[in-house]
Amino acid sequence: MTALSRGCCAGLLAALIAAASAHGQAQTAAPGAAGTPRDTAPFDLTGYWTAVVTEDWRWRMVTPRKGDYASVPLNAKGRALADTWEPNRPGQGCKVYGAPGVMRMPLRLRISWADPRTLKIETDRGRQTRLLHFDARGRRPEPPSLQGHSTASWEGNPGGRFEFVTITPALSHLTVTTTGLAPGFLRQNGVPYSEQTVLTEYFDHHQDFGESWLTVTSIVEDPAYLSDAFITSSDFKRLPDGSSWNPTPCL
Amino acid sequence: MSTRRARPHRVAVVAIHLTAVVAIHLAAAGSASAETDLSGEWTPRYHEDLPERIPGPALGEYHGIPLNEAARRRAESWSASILSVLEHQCVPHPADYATRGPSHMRIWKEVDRDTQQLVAVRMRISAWGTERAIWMDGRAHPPPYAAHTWQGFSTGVWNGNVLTVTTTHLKPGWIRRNGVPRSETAVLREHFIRRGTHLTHISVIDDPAFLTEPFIRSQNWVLSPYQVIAPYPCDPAEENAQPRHTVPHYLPGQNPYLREYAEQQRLPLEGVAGGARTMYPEFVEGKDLRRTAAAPLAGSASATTGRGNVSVVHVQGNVHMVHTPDGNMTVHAGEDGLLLVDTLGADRAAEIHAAIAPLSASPIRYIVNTHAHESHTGGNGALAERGRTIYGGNATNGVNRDAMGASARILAHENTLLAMTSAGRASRDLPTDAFFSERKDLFFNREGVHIAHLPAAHTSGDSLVYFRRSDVISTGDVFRTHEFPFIDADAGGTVQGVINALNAIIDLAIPGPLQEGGTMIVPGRGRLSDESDVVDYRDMVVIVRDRIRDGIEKGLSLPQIQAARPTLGYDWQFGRSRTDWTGEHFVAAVYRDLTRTTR
Repeated sequence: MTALSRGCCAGLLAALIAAASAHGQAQTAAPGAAGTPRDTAPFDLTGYWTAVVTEDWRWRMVTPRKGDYASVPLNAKGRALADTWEPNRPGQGCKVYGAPGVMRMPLRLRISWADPRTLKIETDRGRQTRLLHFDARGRRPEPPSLQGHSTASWEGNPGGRFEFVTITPALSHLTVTTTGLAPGFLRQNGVPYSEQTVLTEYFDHHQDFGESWLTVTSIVEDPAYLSDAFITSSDFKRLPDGSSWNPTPCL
Repeated sequence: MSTRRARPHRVAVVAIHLTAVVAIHLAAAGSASAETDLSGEWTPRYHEDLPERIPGPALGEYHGIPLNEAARRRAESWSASILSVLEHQCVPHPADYATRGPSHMRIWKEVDRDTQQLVAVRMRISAWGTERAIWMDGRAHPPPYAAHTWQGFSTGVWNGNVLTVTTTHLKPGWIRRNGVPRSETAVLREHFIRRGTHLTHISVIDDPAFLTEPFIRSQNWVLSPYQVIAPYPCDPAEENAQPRHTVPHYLPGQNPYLREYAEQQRLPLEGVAGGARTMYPEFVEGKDLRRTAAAPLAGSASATTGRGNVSVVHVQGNVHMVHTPDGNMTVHAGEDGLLLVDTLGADRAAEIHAAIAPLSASPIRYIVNTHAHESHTGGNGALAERGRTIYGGNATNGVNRDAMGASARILAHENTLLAMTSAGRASRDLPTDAFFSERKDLFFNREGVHIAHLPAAHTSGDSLVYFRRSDVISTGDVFRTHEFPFIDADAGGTVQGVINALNAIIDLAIPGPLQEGGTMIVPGRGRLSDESDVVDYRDMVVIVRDRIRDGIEKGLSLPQIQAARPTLGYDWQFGRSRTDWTGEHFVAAVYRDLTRTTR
């Protein structure tokens, strides 16, 4: 091998490897690492949304009959409690508007940023407010409540370097975990959840056929009344404005 | 010396190889996005709509569906007894419904062995064992005239870690398995989202035929590595004593079961009846809903091939379909030459010949006419003159064999010859060989070709052509995928003859597994089909005929029957063709036919 050819090959390889390395490093930087959650949001959730009730209609659009808890993995204790429900009992009208149940109700959402690290979800029906905290630091103990305490983060594929291949990190959805819940209803007919409940939600945004959609998948885990995680996904469609916003308190 | 000379060469080869390797890896790194591996065994969670999804929906349970008037008519006409009809028994859940029924699911990746690039995401669903491919390699969707399947044609792209899938070419199916229909023009958009051991599937259907706006649903699975998906064989079997070719259905207003569900569940009938207004908060607020028009999907509009387009599609075996905007013809090609079923219009003959001549080194030998109409026989003379006939034996002794064989033979039923003669058609277009029996057989390109007369169907001279080894039936105009049957009463056509012809095709065809593929059908107009498409068409003709007959029996006049819209539910599929033959024409033709035969 001549000095020229040796130098040429070594230089070529070094350049290619350097290029490969630089290429990989350029893609490993986390997107928007320096910004606030509002700045790094992969999609804009703010605005008005309406529930689109194409599933579970008979349990969501009307108050189901007592004992109609089909589809819900209630355990014996949960069924026993559900069977004690009476339709007109005072003080229970808001129980289905707690975080595990409210997103299943036929209502509209108004979503805004309360501050750069807190997303606010308001409902017109039931007039509830959920605060999704992207920064859980400094949280003080709070008594259990209908909406509990929600921590949020933008998540997705974390990316990573693999053999010769670097995968670009990509945020794709909002993950929300809610605890500190007061007991409430999963359905209007008294299907219960307890204060031990942990609610995990995933917010996915998608555009299809000219419409902007939000699908919220919720996983309710309640060792007191459920034999398995209760998984549902609720769909919302973006509204052009707030003209149909119709605040109605729960009673 | 030779060794010393070889070393730089080897080093150069190594360098080139390494360069290629690094380049490939660079390319791979450049193309790698945040894809998630969806592979695994997934068990559904039926925490939503359990009664609808597992036992099955009730009759009349349409709440939450933005169905339109046509869909409602179809749904209310639907009888569960249709599921016992042989041709319906093994129809699987189509792609848009498969994830709603019993849906234990397996997902796996198909990667190219050399490049390790993802070619397809494949999945199998437990019910009916349906499998589908989601093509990830950037291939285009087929043309509109390609065959449609239960699972359709799907392409996918990654948006972050979300697999977004677009599916077209679905056979007519259902939104809910209680008769709420979904048309073949629908486009299905899906999003598959994996988060650890949890999978969410969002599906949105845009079907302007039957839905007033896009319809969204979402389902959930959990990873179950030990799941076993059992086989799901299906063989049609006679289940009851109903006569062959019965099409169970309810006439408008006569379905007695539509209120049962609402009454049993104590639900408002207004809500159970469905429609977009039942999907939104306004329904419980008692307000009128502002309707939102469904926006068309960019690029999903049915691509119309402009005039002058001639497309040749290989069907199977020796058979090809020639598709044009004005109709189809069939070409049987092999070492013996070409056999054409119909020739379309004379103005297309040169274009058609240029498209089909490469299919065989030998010329056109035979033309078979399925009926007399000029739309299918106009090119007879022009194409026959581009072919040759083989003569032999004593018949040709002493004559000029070249002159005698200077044109292909044209075969047709004698009623077709008579009709063409009566119409004053040019002699060059007329059949050279007419048959008067119920069938005529040929052996060509090492294959049996069976021509069967279909009496008094859309004309008196209709024939089908069955290529036995290739397993393809060419139907002529008794079957048109996007038009109501044209019943040419002046030429001896009858509605019962059309139904008989369609049943004859169904009897002759043998479908593949899950009522798909197997014998392929080339319609007189429209897209490539199989038996289930003919069944769908036959069911439509019978149901509309029965609605008209019911009106006649009630003493209604033709205008009164037309006002009742007996084709409602089928107009989108069959009443939007580029011909002048509308649903009203079809109703009038059936009315005249039935009143003539019942007098």
